[in-house]
Amino acid sequence: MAVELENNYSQEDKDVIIEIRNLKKYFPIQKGIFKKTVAHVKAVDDVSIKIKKGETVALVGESGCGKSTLGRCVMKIYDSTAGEINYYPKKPIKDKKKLDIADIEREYLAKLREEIQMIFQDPYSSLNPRMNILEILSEPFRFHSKKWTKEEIRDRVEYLLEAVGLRSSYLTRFPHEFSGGQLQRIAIARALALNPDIIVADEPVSALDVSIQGQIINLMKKLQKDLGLTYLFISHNLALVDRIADRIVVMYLGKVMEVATTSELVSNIKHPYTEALLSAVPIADPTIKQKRIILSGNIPSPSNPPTGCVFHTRCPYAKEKCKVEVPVLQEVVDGHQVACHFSEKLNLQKINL
Amino acid sequence: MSTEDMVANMKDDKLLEIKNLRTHFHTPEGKVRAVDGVNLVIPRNTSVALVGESGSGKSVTSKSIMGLLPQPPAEITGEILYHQGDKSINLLELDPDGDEYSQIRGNEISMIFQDPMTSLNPVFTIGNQIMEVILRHTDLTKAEAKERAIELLDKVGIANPRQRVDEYPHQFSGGMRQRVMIAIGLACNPTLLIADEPTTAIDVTIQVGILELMKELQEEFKTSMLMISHDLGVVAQVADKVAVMYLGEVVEYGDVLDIFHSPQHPYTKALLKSIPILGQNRGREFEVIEGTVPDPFNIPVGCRFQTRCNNQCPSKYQNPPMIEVKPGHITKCWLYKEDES
Repeated sequence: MAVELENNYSQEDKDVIIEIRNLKKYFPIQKGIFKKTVAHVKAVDDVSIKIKKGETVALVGESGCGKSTLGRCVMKIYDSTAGEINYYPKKPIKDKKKLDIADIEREYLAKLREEIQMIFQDPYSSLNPRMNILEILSEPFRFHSKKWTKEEIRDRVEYLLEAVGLRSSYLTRFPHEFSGGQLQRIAIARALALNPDIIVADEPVSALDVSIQGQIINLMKKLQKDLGLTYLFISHNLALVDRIADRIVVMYLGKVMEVATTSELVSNIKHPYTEALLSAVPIADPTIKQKRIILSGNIPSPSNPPTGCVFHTRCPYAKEKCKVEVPVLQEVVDGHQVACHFSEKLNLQKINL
Repeated sequence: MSTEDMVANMKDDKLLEIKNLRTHFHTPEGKVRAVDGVNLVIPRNTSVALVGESGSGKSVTSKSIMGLLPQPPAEITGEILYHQGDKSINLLELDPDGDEYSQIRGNEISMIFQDPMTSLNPVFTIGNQIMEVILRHTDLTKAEAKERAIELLDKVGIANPRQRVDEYPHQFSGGMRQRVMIAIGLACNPTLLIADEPTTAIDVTIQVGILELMKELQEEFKTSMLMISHDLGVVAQVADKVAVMYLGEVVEYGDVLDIFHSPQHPYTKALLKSIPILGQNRGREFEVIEGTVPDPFNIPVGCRFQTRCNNQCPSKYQNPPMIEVKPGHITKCWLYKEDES
């Protein structure tokens, strides 16, 4: 359907930095000695999202909804099965104004890595325990298109450490000498080494204590302001996402259910899944007793998703139509997209604040 | 008034009383004082939440109660008084592997662990694992125990229990397995259920159901609960009383409303400010607790929070007293000592 204008597609919106179009990522399930593919896990199934320059877009959803897979497709850690991830860099990369990450040629890949970087969930396993901090932070420069001298690298590394709030005397230490929060700061410094455009942060604070989470988020927000970064922030913590994201994308079983700016999404819920998800967030105030919507059953298997609307097996408002017809993600209010047949008719619960 | 008196004065009907509990571990690098002088009362028919960051000693406290820590390397001193009718038993005086402890553990005090994926045995059916507890602690026959297991599965909201009782853990999802763990925990109508981060490994939409279930069952079975959690949202929704731990000590204890609405200890105040709450302060910076939790081998002398506290009290190098700021609300902080200055 959306394949027609592909080649002469022009960037309609100047602010857009990443445009994901009809992205699919299927993992094959193989059986037998010949590794015959018997089925596919549809981790990401026909997702389209636009990310604007300098904004924080949050991907939220339960485990298994495909949010991390989507992040990894953007990083080109996974090869996408179908669809496009169009990236519009600040400066043209080898005279290309647009790169399709899903179908990138090898020669552009190294350059792409300079522009898009990732922060992982667990800083204890994402930093090499045998390298000291100087080695960890100088590694990106070995692969940079520009040649760096040793002195230049050391200066830059010291600057990076300072930018993430660590002392440069830490350079000779090893990862085991640091706490989780400090390690995550080092992971952020490494991601920033080559001055990227975009950072994909996959649950960057969920392995950390609450008192440290705030420090890391404040740091990320400050760096975003100073360096003009764009964040794709993957998280299951809705209270956190509500605090820091500009826009939220709600995913369920590999599909996008609802997209809106944070305040719009929370105050004007249009999708029953978002309603259930937000009502389930425990609020740290014993006087607030929210009406909770308890979804029946579990997330269906992504290798055999339900027909029609994927959410219909657990949706308290599901009707016959939902079982047969797949709802299309449509704009209902300016910038607010929903994939639900009955979003106009449902009177969904407001968050009690 | 000494700390012990204050704890003894609390009027509620006490079920479990922890007095001056110290659990130290001897390691090659030195002694870790994981729990260091904890005083805590769990009244009957009440949920008490233990909150704190990793390393604060909340899990070690619960394992000390259950007698699950091998000694050595652990060295446990103090008293854990379990009030059973008009008798009081000091659990620490019992042999952790002896019959007496076994009669209490699993029967009167039971525990639910954080990760339902690893705490069920994959080679036994769900029914077998629930029946194991029942057969051990009651005189029921195998057939009766199985009926009881089916009844329990029904209670914890598992559909079609008669069929599912013969299934294996891998046939259950994470949320369902945690329900099975709750069924095992409640199998013998315990008077105290210890739940160590019962919903941390579970998605929020499933968590709601589990928490509501635990609350319902707690009321139905008249069980007290000691819930360990780092999620203040969960605590606010479930607990009646809250104990805040920092570096092996309880720094504040009180009713859930008092803790959330008028926290006294600087650590509790800072902790409450540092968490995001849905719909509040959108886009604003987080108010954070500066610094990190000190290394367990080098715990500050005196007030343990001094390295991160905004109030630098003159007496910070001495151990702060427990002060009752209002009946039932205790805090361990120099700021509330009146006859100072």
